[in-house]
Amino acid sequence: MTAASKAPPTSFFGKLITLRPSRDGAKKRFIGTTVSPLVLYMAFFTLFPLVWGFSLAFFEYSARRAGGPVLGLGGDNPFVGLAHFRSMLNFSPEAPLEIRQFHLSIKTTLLFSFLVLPLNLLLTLPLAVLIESVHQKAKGLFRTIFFLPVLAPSVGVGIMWDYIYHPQRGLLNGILSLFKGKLVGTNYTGDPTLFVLGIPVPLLAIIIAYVWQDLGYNLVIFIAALQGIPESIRDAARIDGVNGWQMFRFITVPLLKPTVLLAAVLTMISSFTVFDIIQVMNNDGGPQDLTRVMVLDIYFNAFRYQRMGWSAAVSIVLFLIIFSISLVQTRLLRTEWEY
Amino acid sequence: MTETVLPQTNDPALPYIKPSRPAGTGKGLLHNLRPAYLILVPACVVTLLPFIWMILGSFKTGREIRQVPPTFFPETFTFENYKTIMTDEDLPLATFYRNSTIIALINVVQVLFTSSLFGYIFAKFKFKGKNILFWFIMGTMMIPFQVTMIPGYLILTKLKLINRLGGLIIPAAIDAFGIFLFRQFSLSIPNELLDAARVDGASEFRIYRSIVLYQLRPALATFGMLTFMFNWNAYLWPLIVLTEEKVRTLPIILNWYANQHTQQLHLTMAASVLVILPVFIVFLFSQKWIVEGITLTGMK
Amino acid sequence: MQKKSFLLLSGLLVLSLVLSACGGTDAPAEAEGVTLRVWTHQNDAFNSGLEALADAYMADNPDVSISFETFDYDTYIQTLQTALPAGTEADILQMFGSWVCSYAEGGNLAAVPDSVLSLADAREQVFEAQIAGYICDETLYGVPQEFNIEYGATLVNTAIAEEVGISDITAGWEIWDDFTADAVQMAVVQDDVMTRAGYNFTASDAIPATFYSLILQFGGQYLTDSGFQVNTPEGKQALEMMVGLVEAGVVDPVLYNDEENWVGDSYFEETSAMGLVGPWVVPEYAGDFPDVADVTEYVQLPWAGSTQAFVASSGWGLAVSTNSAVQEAAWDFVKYVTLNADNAAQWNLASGTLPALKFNAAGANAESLVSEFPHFGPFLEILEYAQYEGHFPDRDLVWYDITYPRIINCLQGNATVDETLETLEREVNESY
Repeated sequence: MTAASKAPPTSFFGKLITLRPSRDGAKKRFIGTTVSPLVLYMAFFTLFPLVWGFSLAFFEYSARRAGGPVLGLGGDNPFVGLAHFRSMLNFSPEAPLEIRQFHLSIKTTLLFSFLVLPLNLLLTLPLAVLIESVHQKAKGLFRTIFFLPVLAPSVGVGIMWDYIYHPQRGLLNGILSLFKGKLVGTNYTGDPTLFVLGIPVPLLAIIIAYVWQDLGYNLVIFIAALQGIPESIRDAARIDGVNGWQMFRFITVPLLKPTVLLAAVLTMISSFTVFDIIQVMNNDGGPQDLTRVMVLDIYFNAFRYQRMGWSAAVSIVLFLIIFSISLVQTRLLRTEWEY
Repeated sequence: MTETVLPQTNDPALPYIKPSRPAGTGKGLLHNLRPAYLILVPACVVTLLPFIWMILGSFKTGREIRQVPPTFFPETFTFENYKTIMTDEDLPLATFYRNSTIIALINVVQVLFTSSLFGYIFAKFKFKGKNILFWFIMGTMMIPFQVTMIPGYLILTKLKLINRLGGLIIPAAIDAFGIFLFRQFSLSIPNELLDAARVDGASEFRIYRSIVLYQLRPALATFGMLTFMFNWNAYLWPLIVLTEEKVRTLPIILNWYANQHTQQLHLTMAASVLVILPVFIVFLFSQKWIVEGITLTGMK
Repeated sequence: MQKKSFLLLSGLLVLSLVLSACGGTDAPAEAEGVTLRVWTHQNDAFNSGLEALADAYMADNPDVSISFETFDYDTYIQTLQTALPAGTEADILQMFGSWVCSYAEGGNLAAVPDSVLSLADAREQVFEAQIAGYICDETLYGVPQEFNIEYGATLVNTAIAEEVGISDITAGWEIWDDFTADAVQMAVVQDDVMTRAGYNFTASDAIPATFYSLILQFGGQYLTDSGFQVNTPEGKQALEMMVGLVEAGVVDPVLYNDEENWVGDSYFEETSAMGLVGPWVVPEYAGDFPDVADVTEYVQLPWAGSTQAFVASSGWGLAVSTNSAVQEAAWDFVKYVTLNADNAAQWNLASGTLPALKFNAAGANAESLVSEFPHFGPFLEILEYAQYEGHFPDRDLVWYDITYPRIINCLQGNATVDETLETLEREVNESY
């Protein structure tokens, strides 16, 4: 099973691939014809814009200015090296507005993501198991219902929830007023002084809307994975008198671990890059910038205030945060990642 | 099933489970049904409530939808909102539906193809540079979209794809999430199956086409539906790339009525319903295939 | 079998290319006709007015065809940013006055040719407060269509006024205390929750407009030779007066701000009895809320100090891109729309905006404007007191990201007046 038994391949693609001798040729050709176009395509459509986008972090760039000859860099869009990054380390309360907004946005983003993930998993996993346990016909119905929010466009979802949160004509205050017997006028999305356990209520409002919208996604993935658990194991357990809770804890969860990791990593990554619904619900970053997550900050700086260089620098920081967290996640919930 | 031994005696990896009732009663499933419904039904209501609110809102007049205190059921049920949207000259609905459909369908086909193919390759093959390539692809998921907006747009300009549907199709062939997902699902395809086919003389593409795709059918249906939905609902990027009315896509009508200062809630609700409808239909169809796929392949 | 897959793959590619080619723009117009592309932001009233003028122009000039592309506000800015480096922007761009210089300095806008409008003529024909935004480095880069006004007169729901016993509210108020008293009377508070604001001035445009106008009225200046200054006696007086309004109970800034109950929505939904916003909202909302529109009047706000002045931003107008291949034709259309007094007045009427041309603000044209759209009346009387807000490197940043958040924070009771003034001054100066 090693390449040692064959003479070193001389073709370019052959060098790329080291496989068992008996299927070398066919497999090599297969890989060659599929992976090379992939690499070329990604180099052009993904790598190139990425490198360019990130390199803006080392310039003062505005789309309005003509700049130098190479891709608009240089000239009126001067090279500034690490200036942006150095300015990020200014933690004094007298720091310029965009730096302070940047620091706040990191905190807000982390808060957002670290709340969304457990909330999402704690809801979807048990729900998936419950749905799997019911009668066949009901299964499809439940799955459809819980998946509906995912189908809705973010603009619609944001407006729906805005409608619910409205201080005077919203559903939430309407119900609370009924219970309390007197009018409740809390402004969930616009009051900068409301906090629950240190979390700003406007952020919480958006988290709830986002989790509501996103539940169905993980739910479907978990249901698909649950359906992949061999019925034989479950039958054996049932015959031995294992009850539902035990089944869940000792059989389902361990077998589901790889999928849970997959869902956790993906949910985490998406929660860092969520944009649509936050922009719809709190157009300008919320009261006192309390819901201004990093992608919003990046967007405003890039397009409203045309500080694309600064915006690119913030993007690099966001990317590094996402990358390290994903790395930590995969290490912590170690499972098969074969290469 | 003749074996009566507890699973853990066969698989040392599973912890010991103490049975809670005498073996052989087999009543476990029925007893679990009721608590499940107790939780599921209220959860359904909570999930559906905003939707119902939205759908009911789409039948209310502009006046009523803004009443304090709010009404739940429309007092004056009206189709006016839908009529307004469908006859609005500035918004040729048929054109938008057509454009959205073309883009969504083509992208679904190409993304399903590339994701399943490369997911399979990353799962089952080894080649030099595989790790780097895989992590690079995964890395692209972590990059905020705004970074590549301007460079991406500039590339489209050079390729003369601005204001063309192709501008949304050609760069969309590779979906990192899809590759990730299909790799995960492909891992569980038994190698014996593949090797047996190879021994029988099937070519790699044949194996992919006949065996791998077949095994991946639930995932294909699921992800296909998700991709359709993602493409159908996308509005930020299409708004920039497609500025001419005749090539614009459907979500623009949402933006239109939900615009910054003169939010017309009743119309936006109706517009949302119009946008969701096709996705919902696709969803229902794909449900059938998911179920079919599972029952045909039998229990794994 | 590999061949089949290749065929499939290439077939798909061809299919997508063909279909995508179907949905695209054709080759550029032939030499005989000129096509002008116009980009505008989404505002039905604005755009229908402009399109009507375009139709008339095309009837007179059959070899010209004009096509419109519209974007909602946020997307408009975004699209401009992406299109400019690529050179794909339209020939005619609708611009907000305060943006013009930042785009002009980047070389994106064409200077107005003298044959269309010379700088001297511009200063003569167009109100200073509006043309100022379009002049950068002594060069004119566009022509305003409207007189943007977000202060000076307030929306008043006369039916509510009568309901609470205020007789003849349209006569106005001599002093602020009278105004405050009426506003408080019209407010409704139930169980400590304000269900109707008396005077909604806590929106993101209204707050800066109010603050800076008050400074002027108290005899101060916020843009001086030493830069931006608001930590001054006049600044303090202005902010304290605004806090006073809130404390008297005219509006609850926690419930009425940019996130919820924006002034236009709130006024027409009758959760505000009076509101500070320009007359352009009336055509926008009249369709959905005819009852409220019927009882709406604009009434001039009383002067707060000895100086009669208020701040106006340089508003929407038209500019031409330097990348345009048909600049001459473009300028001709711009001239037709903005400098022809009758056309300009027609557009103002359709959009509910005040005229930028001095000619239309007085005399016969003004009378016909007021008779068709009475809300213009109170504003036309005070146009002469409007002052240009001043040149800021990034006026949107100063207005929406600094002034509004700082002041609303103060009004909500979360920061003191002194703190707010100090921070405001510092942050604006930093942004330079």
